[in-house]
Amino acid sequence: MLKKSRKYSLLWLVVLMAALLIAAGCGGQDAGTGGDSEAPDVVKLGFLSPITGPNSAEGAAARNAFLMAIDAANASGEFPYTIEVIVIDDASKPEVGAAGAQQIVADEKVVAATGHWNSGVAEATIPIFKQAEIPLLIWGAIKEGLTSPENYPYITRSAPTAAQENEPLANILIKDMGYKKWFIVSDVTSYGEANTEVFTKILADMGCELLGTEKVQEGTVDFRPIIQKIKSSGATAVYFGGVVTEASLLKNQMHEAGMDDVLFAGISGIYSEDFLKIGAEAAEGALAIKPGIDPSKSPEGQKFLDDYAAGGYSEPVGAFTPYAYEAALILLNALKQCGDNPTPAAMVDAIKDSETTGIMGTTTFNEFGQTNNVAAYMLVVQDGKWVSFDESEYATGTRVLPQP
Amino acid sequence: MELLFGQIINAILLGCTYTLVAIGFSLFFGVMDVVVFCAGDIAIFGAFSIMGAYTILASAGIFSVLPFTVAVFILLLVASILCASLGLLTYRFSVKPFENTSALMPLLSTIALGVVIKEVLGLVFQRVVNPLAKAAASGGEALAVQGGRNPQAMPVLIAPDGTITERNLIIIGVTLFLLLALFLFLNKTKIGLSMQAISQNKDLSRMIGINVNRIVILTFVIGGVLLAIGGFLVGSYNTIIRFDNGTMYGTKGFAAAVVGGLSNIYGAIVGGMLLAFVEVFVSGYIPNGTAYSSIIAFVVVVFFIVFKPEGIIGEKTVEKV
Amino acid sequence: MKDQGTKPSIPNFLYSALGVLMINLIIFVLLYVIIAAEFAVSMITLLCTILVMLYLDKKGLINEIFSIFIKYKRTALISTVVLALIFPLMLADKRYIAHIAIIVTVYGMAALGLNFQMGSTNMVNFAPAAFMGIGAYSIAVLTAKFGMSSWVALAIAILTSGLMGLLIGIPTLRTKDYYLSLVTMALQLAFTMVLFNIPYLGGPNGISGVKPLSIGEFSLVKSYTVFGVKIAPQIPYLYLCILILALFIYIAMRIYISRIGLSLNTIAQDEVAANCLGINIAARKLFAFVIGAIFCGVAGALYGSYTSYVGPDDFGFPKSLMIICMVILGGMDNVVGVVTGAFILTVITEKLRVFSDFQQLVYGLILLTVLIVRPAGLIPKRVRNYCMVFKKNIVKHTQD
Repeated sequence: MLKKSRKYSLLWLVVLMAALLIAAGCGGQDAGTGGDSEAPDVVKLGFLSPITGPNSAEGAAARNAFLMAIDAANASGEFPYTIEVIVIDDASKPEVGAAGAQQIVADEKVVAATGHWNSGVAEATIPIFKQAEIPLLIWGAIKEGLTSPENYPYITRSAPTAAQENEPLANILIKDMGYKKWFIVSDVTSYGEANTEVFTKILADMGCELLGTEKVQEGTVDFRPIIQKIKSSGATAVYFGGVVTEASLLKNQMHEAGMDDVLFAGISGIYSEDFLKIGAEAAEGALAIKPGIDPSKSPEGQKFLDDYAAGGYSEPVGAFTPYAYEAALILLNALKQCGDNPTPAAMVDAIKDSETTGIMGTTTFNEFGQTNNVAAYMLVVQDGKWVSFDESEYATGTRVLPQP
Repeated sequence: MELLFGQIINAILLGCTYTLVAIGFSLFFGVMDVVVFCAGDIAIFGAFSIMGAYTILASAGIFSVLPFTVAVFILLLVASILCASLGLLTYRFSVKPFENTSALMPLLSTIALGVVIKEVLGLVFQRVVNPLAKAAASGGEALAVQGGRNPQAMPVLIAPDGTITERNLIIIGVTLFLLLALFLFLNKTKIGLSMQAISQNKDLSRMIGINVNRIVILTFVIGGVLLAIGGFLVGSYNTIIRFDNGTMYGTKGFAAAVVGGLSNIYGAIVGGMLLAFVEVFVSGYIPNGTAYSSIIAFVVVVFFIVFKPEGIIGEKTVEKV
Repeated sequence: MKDQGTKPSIPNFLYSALGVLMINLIIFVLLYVIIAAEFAVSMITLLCTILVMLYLDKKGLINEIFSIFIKYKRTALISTVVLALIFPLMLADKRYIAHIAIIVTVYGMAALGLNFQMGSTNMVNFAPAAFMGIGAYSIAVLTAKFGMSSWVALAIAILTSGLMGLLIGIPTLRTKDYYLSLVTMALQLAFTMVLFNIPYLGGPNGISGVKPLSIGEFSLVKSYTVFGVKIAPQIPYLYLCILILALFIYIAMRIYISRIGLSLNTIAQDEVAANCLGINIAARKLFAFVIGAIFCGVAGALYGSYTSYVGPDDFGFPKSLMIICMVILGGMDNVVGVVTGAFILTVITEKLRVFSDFQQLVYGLILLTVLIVRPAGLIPKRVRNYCMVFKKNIVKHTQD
C-alpha cells in the first residue's frame, strides 16, 4: 500500500516520536484539581494564571503561593467545608483563558475566582465572570480599565494599576534624583502599552523631556538600531516598560555599546532572576520598582517567604507572587464573612467590602473595586543581585548611578 | 554622521545574520528545488547545541585542559555533527517522501518539522539541560544557562577578551568566508559541479554517472554544517538564543533568499542586506519606527515577489509548457 | 493501487432509508462521546473512530456510504436536521462542552474557507487567520465603537473580509507555488503586527465589549430557563453556529459540483491547460480567494461576537498553521473531510488543555505524520462522479 520509502519514514517517525515523548515527558505535569461533585461540603475557588508559555515562571509561582494559603486554611479547620481550587492554565492567551473561565463558571460549587497575570487575558474572561455573576479578584494584571464602574462589583483587584505602580518610580527618579531627559522603550503587549501610556503622561506632568518612544515586538533580539538612536538623542535615562527578556537584552546591548552612563529603569516586570542571568555584568545598576512592601521586612511576610522556600517549589518568588498569596487571604476572609453556606452573590458583597490585613499591609477596595493599598519600593542590581535600593551601596554613595 | 555610520554597521551585521540563514535556503533550493523552511530552526538548533555542548564540556573541564581556540573548535564540531544529522533527518522525513508530489508538500512538511524542532528545543532545554547546568555549576564556576522556555544566554566564545568591534569583524569575516568557500566549492570541485548538474536536470545527471542520492545527502550535510556555523554566529551576535526565533529567521531568511533570487547563492547576501537595511533604517530614523520595521520589510518582500519574482540578481526563467 | 478486487461489502440492510438513519445515529453518538466525554474516553473513541474511518476508506466503503446517502437523500437530510437540532439540547447543562462545540463550528467554517484556495485550487494560503481577524475586528469595531446592530455589523464584516480577500488575491495572481505561499505568509505576519500597532484597534489590548448577536431582545449568548431548566448560555448561539455551518457546507458542496468547482480543480492540475480550455484563471482564482475570505471572515465575526473580545493574538501565524493542519488532516478538497479535520483538531486542542506546553508539538507531529503517511487526508477527495446526475442507478466508478 504505502510506498517503501514512506513505510520506512513512518517507522522512523514512530521511533522519533517515542524518543521525544521520553525526553520531553520526564517531568510529568499534574492536572488541575478535579473534584468529586458528590461531596456535600466542598466549596470551590477558581484560579487562573499562565502556568505554561512565556510567563510560566510568574504564573506557576503565583499558583504555588495561592495553593499554599488554601492548604493552610483547610488544615487549620476554621472552615466547616473543604476548599478546593480549580487551577486553570491560561497560557497567557486570551482565547485559552476564556475557555478556562467557561470551565470555572460551569462548576456549580464555584463561589469566586481569582487570576490573571496578563491584562489581555483578563479582558477576555471578565465578560464571562460578569455574565455568570461570579466575583473575580485580579491579583496580577495591571491595565487601568479592568476595574471600572461597569465591572463593579464583580471585578475587584488587589494589585496596583500601571499608574499606581509607575508614580512612585517617577517620584523617586524625577523629583528626588532629577533625571529629566527620558527615552521610553517598551514591548507591544498590553503590559508594555499600559506602562508606556502612564509613564508618558507622568513625564509630561512633571515637565520632563521625552526624547523618543520605541515599541518592539515580543521576541526581538536586536536592539542596536534603537540604542544608536538613544545615544544620539542625548537621553540621560531609559525607561523600559515591558517584561524581563527584552529588558535584559536592551541593557546588555547598551552596555556593549558603552552606554553605562545612561540610567536604566524599569517596571516590576523586569524584576526577575532572568534579568540577572541574561544580563550578567551588564545588568549592574539597573533599577526596578516593585509594588507592595518588601515581604522580608515584616514577620508575616518573612513567614510567607520561609514557608514558600520550605515548600520546595522550583519557581522562585516573583514580583507578584505575594499578591497571589494576598488574593488567597482576601478570598478566605470573604468566605469567613459568608458563614457556612457561601454563594457567589454573597461573596461579591463580602469581597468588595472586605478589609484584609495580610503580608502586604491592609487591603480595602475603592468605589471601582480597585485596591486602596498602594506602596512600592525600588530595587537596584548590585553585583548580580537585586538589592533593595535603600540598603544598597548606591544609596550610601559607595557606588554612583549615572549622572542626570 | 556618527549615527549614520553606527546604523550602517548595525545593518551590515543584521544582514549577515539573515544571509547566514538565507544561504541555507539557496543551497537546498538550488540542488533539490525545494524550500526547506526549517532552515531557521536548524540554525537555532545549532546555537542551542553549542550552548548545550558548552555546558557539558565546560563542566568536564575542557577549557582548563585545552587552549581556548581548540575547545571552541570542538564545540563547533559537535554542533556541526548534530546539525548535519538534523539536516539528514529533514531530508528523510520532509523532503524524500515527497519527491514525486506537488512542490508544496515539502514546504508544508518542513514547516511542520520546524515546529517540531522548535518545540522540542523549548521542552528539552527546560527539562534536561537545566538540571545538568545546575549540577555543573555546583561543581565549579557558575554557568550562564537557565531554565524554562525562556531565552538562554549564549556563552561568549568569539573574542571573549576582545572588544565588541573585534567580535563584529569576526562575524562579518566568517560570513564572507563562508560565502566564498561555498562559491568555490560549487564551481571548482567535482561534487559542487555535480550539485549544479542535479539542480539542472536530475535524470540527465543520473545518466552521466552522478550518484544523485549521495550528492543529495551530501547537500543536506553541508547545509546542516553551514547552518550550525550560522546559528553560532547569530547566537553570539544576539548574546542570547530563543527557542522560538527559528520561525523569525526562517521567514526572514526565506524572504531574503527570494528577494535576492532563490537559485543564486549571491542572491542570499543581496536579499539579506536589503532586508536588514530596510529594517535598521526604518527603526533608526523614523520616530517610533521600530514597531513598523518588520511590517515595512514584509511589504518590500511582497513588492519584490509580485513585480520581480526572479529576484534582484536571479535569471528570468520562461516557463516551458 | 488500492481496492484490488476486494468487493465492497456493506451489509445489505444498510442499503435502505433505515440504514441511512442508523449510520447517522452512529455518527451522532460518536460525535457526542468524543466531544463530551472525559479526556481518556474521548481520546480513545477518537482514535478508534479514525482507525475505523481509515479501514472503511481502504475498503472503499466510505464512497459506498456516500452513495447510500445520495440515494436516500431525503431521509439523510431530515434525520441530519433532526439530530442537529437535538445535539445542542444534549449539551444544555454542559457550558464548557457547548463552548467547545461553538469553537468547532467556527473552525469548521474557517477550514471550509481555506479549502477553496488550498484544497480546490492548490494555492497554499498561509493567511486564513488574517481573514478571520478581519471579520472579527470588523464586527468588534462596528458594534463596540459605533454601536451598530450586530446583524448589520455581521453583514459589513462579510463585505470587508470579501474585499480584503480581493485585495490580497490581486497581487497573488502574479505569483505561484512558493512565491504565493511566501506572499501570504508575509501578509499574515504583517497583519498581526499592524493590529498590534494601531491604537484605534486597541493595539495589544484588543477590543472588548463586542455585542453578541441577538434576535430582537433575545440575546443569543445568555442563560435562559426553559421549562424550569436553566440551560447553558451558549446553546442559542450554538444553534446559530450550526445553522451557518450547515449553510456553508451546502454552499461549498454546490460550488464543488458546479462548473466553477471543476474549473478550480482544473487550475490546480494544470494552469496552462486550464487557460487553453477557456477558463478565466484570474477571475476563478479571485473567486476562490474572495469566497474563502468571506467564510473565514464570518467565522471570525461569530467568534468575536461570542467571546465579546477580540485581540491580535487570536489571529496570528500559529492559528493559520492550525487551520491549514485541519484541512490537510481532514482531506483536501473534500467538504466533509475538512469539517471532520476541524472537529478532530479542535477537540484535541481543548482536551489537551492541561498539556498546552505540548500543543504546538502535537500539531507539528500530526501535520508531519499526515503528510507522510496519508497526504490525501482522513477522507480523501472523491473521484468526481457525474454519471449519477444523469442516470438513476449508481455506476461503480473507477479508482484514481
